Amino acid sequence: MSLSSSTLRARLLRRLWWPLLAVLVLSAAYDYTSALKRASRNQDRALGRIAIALTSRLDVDADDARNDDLGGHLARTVTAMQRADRRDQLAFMVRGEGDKLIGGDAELAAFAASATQNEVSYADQQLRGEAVRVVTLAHQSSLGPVAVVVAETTHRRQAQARRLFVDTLVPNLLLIALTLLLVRSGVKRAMAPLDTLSEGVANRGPADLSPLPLAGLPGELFPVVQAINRLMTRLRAAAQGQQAFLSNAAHQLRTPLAGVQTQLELAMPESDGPQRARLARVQTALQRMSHTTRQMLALARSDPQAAGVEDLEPVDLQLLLEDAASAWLDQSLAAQVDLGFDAQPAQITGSAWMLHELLNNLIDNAIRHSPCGGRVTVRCGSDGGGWLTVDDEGPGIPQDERHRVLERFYQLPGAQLGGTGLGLAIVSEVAQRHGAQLTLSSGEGGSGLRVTLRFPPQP
Amino acid sequence: MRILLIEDDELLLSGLREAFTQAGHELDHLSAAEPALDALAHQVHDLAIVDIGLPGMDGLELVRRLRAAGNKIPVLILTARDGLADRVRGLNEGADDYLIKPFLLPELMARVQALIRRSQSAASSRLVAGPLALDIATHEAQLHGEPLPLTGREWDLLLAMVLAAPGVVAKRKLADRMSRWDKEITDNAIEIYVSRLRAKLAGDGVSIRTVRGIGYRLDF
Repeated sequence: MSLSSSTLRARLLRRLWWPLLAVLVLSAAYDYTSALKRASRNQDRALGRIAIALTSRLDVDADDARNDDLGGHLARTVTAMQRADRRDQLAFMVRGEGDKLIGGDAELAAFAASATQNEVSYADQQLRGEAVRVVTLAHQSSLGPVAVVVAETTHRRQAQARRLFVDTLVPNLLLIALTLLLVRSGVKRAMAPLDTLSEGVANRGPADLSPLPLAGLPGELFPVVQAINRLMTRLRAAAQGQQAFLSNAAHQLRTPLAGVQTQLELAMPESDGPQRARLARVQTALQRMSHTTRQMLALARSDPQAAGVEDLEPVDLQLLLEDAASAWLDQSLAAQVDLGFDAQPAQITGSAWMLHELLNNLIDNAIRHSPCGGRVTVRCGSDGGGWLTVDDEGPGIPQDERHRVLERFYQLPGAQLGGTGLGLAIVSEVAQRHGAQLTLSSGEGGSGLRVTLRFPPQP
Repeated sequence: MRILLIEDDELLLSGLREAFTQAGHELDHLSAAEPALDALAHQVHDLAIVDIGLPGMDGLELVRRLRAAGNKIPVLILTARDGLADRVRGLNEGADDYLIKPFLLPELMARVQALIRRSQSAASSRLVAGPLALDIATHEAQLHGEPLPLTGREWDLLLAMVLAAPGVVAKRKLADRMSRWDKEITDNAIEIYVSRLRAKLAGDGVSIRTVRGIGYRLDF
């Protein structure tokens, strides 16, 4: 998931991650310095003990009055006190009254200046180009006032510092990584209901106006979801209202149309001459009016806003074609058009009524635009998804008009025969409602029109 | 035939009355569903034509009550609404056919004839289609009152076409029917049987029309 700056999740993670990272880094630094200090104090103490041991050795040796080899004694004392770890080199110096060297290394004399009476003091110095830790101590021994200097190279201290650094770094890095991961997964888990909700809304079909479930949602989302649900309820009511209105309008329009139609049919055989021709024209207009009424209702019903009223069900295209054969045979005979079929098994999911309207409009168009003696062929089949084609041998539709004819009320320039400009619009909208791909092309041999519908594969 | 029409539109009613009278039927009329229930209880009618959009009790409810009472009269529903749901409900409630307003008179007449034909065959095992009469019990066919000798296969084909008229009967449905004679029947074989049947019917006011690629229709 991308952390785009606008998401709540990204904001939360940003607000948590950076402060947490800072706190953890500070705490790791503190751990390291305090451990280093403790280790350094311990080693200083050990070094201090050597200085103190030297002063006490001075006192003992002075009592023995065998101070001719005092320097050698002192050197042995130092060697004895040095730890088993021989990485570091120890040097010492003991200086008596009047700067007289009693034992050890004269080079250390420069460090003796800072020696304080009976108090061990420490300093970092350089000796022969190497960093050393120096301890100094002034003492009133039986030989008079002496200054003691012990210097130790810092190899072990440095090694220890490195070890401490690694020892604090590794657990702290793990801690940081783990904390950040926990925060991330916690945020993710807390946000999960929001994801479920948005997926639920995004994946819904255009026809689905049922309320969103409130169960399992955090309280903060309740007002949002309730507002959406109220909107859904209003949309549903509006859609149902529209359907009821359509139903009513259909009834109000069609019943009188049926009456007029019947009366006209009865009047036709009784009349003759110009009267009959007049009635025939009225009859044609009436047919067109019935057709338009039917098409407008079909369009209104196929509108996504009126959705949710037509249920989707399994539809057998083969049966649909067989029904169409019964319904259109007489019209095709009257128009002297050879209406034929090739119905292979094909199952799709859709609204049988809408598909019926779709096929009716396609066949009606095809017959209407066919020349006398022309062939209209309706085919269906399945190759993954169901498909349906209607071919005619009419004038076809020029390439650059093929898109426009799908618009409502659009008619080709020079169109004849009283079309409504709604037929292909209905086909297009019904196709959209079924997620089907609609293609207009030239028929076999490059003439006429072929309308192809490809339905999505069955789940 | 005596037909009961339940329809509340005056214009349509008067037209239909005239049309049915011209066709030699007797038409009774009611404009609401409640009295129709009583009228149909006497069982004097051969067919009822019911409009769905009636004031008060609607046409679907009327059909439901009729069937619940065990009345088997053929019912043709007229509907001005074209939602498929209405039609399916109508047929589920027990209507035998439906027609959407506005309709052409010949269409209505053909449907009415088909319904009467089917109900009569149920009552008397005799099917009539124009000059053709089939006796389902004895498997005997007559054309213009003369016996028409048919093989078993030809009889089955003709019966299927008469039952489907004025609709088209699909070749694949004929193949299903014929499978009791031939295990694996080809389209070619059906065409041969149909051409034989055609020869027997030739020139006698009944013909079998081929509907390219899908099947046949009996025209009479």
